[in-house]
Amino acid sequence: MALRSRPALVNIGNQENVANAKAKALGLGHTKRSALGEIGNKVNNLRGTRPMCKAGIQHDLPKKTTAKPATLESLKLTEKPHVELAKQLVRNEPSSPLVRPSIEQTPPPAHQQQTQQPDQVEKVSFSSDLLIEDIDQDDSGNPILVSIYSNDIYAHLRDLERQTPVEREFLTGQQVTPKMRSVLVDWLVEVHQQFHLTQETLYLTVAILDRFLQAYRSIDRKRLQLVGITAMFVASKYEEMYSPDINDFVYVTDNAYSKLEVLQMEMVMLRTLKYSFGRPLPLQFLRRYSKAGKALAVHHTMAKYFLEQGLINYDMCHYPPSLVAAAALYLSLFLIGSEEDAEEGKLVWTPTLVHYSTYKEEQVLPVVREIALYIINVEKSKHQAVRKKYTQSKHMKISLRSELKSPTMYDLATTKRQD
Amino acid sequence: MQKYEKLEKIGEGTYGTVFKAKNRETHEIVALKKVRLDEDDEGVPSSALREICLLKELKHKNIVRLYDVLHSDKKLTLVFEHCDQDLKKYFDSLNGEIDLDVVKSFLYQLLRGLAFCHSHNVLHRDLKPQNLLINKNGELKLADFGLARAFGIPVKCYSAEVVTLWYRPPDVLFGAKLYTTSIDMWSAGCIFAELANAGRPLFPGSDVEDQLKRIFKMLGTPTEETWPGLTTLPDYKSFPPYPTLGGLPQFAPKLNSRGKDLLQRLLVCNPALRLSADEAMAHSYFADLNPAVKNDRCQ
Repeated sequence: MALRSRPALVNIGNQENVANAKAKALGLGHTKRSALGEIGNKVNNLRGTRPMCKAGIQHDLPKKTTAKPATLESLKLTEKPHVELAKQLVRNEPSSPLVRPSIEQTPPPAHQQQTQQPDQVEKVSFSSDLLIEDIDQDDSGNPILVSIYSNDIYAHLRDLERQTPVEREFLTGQQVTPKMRSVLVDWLVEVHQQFHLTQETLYLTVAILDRFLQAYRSIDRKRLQLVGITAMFVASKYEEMYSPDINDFVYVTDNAYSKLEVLQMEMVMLRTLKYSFGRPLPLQFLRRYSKAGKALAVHHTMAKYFLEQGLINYDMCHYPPSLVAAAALYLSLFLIGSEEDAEEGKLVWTPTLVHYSTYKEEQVLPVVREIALYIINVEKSKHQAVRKKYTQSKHMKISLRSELKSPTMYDLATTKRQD
Repeated sequence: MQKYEKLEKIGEGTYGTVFKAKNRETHEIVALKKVRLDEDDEGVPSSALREICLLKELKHKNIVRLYDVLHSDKKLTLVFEHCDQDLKKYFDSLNGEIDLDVVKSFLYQLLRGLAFCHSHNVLHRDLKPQNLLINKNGELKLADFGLARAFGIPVKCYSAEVVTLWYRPPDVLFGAKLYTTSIDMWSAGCIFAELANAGRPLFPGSDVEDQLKRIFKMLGTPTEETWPGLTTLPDYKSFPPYPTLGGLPQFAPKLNSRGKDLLQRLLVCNPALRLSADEAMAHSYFADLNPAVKNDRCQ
């Protein structure tokens, strides 16, 4: 299929805060983002001997599409969820009073400085295992892939991941319940879309939110939305070229909070988290794995869908981002292609993926099952923001795909866990 | 600010004033950077937020250490390790003469700090002599991460409004928003030339056009052949075809041939062909580097 060699779409609309410039000045919605912009150049090249994808699965590959600018009406829509949120929050009672103390962060092993000869630099990711490809070897001429530092950088991200854990059931004993958190994240997904922020900002917002709730522990339901919007305010400053004005954040809460409250919450948040916002995002790992697994755009997009649905899901919070990303890609590779492919026992989690993800198949599978479980229940869920978002053609209408309701999915979701 | 006694003003950072101060208990000398927080403003500036977050992750001998962040009502105070002076002031004290071993040592330390940033997915984006701190025992440290940011792979578009004009690479001068670690390597090359000339800046341009003209007069005007994609850069303008005369070696007459070779490999207009920090550290120019500098553990 000709589509297989789809060239990389380089994201042209991503932004950043250099001079803390205000989005107001530029007008919201000026930025255009391609839905698949972050896929690396070499992802779809046929380099290896085991193409992951079978024919006939790319029927939904879209043209490069861009987000429509937010209209005033669509911005106003975001006032509504606030009301809904407030209702939801009151309905849900705190769950079990058991308190699970958060584990103190241990200092990381000091990162060893490496001094390499240039000829070693080229081979730094080459493994003696012949089954494992050096997935960076063709990229030395493409500086945006920063190939000589790729392995160092991913090792560093894994260090950061260990330093900034989110514990299982971190809400236990708090006023905020898992349901409230899901309602909040669902709403944040909508706000994120309205503001046309980068994908990274959404993941970072939820990472900040969870780490803050875990550490602070005494947020009441009335202030939960304030925490959510402030997390997005901070994430935007860190990640965006031009972050939205603080007044925009106040506005989307239907002025439930004042600007001063957001500023005060910002300080509380920065101090509580000690200014550490470097927790890696599942998306960063997914890009690496998609490259290692020669994933097509459709696999990558479906994996992103799983990850974003995972943000809503409290039971997924505690998995390290590198592991959730591995499970998401595993599932998309497994679902797409397997049905057209009569070949039994096709290897999804190749040695190359094991190497670059650092996870073996048996480590990934339990998380794959959890993803399958929440995906088959998605339509019954109250939280529809991510599913709706992924019905759009710029997201390849991925949430409408039949594979998500296939018997394979039900089997996976209902198989008794071996672990 | 009870903990520290303010001594004197040292300078101005990207956002806020820097003071020398003494810890009243330990008598340790530190540098305090004050960040004012206005209540009708946008809270903590993103530059301060990033600088704090990134510096907390970058613990290396050639990167200035952030000890603490102090909060008070209307300001943040960043507590840094104190260094005796910056490279600009050091240049001013030289009277046009510099020891070539010092040049080598400073450049190596600059590259080592930069390699550490780049392998920890951080771009500095404002390297210049004022932002390189040195202390009495000849250590050099990268400072002022107010324009720095973390990057992903593949890198995304970032702001083109970065790097002080004289140290800004031609791709960014032409408005490129998709840049990577090579942005800092150009600045490192400019600083190397300036070091070798005891503080005479290499490309002291007055505006973007003058800056590009100075670069091309020295290095030759790039073409689509030497730099594919050049003419599609957002602010591309054609320049007269200045020849490649090898003006760069003449600018740094005191450098040995290996040093001149390294300089030419750093100052390449096409960003894809510029050396990385690790590659530069492995260049033969450093073969006779003082082992005490080379073998430093740096943690």
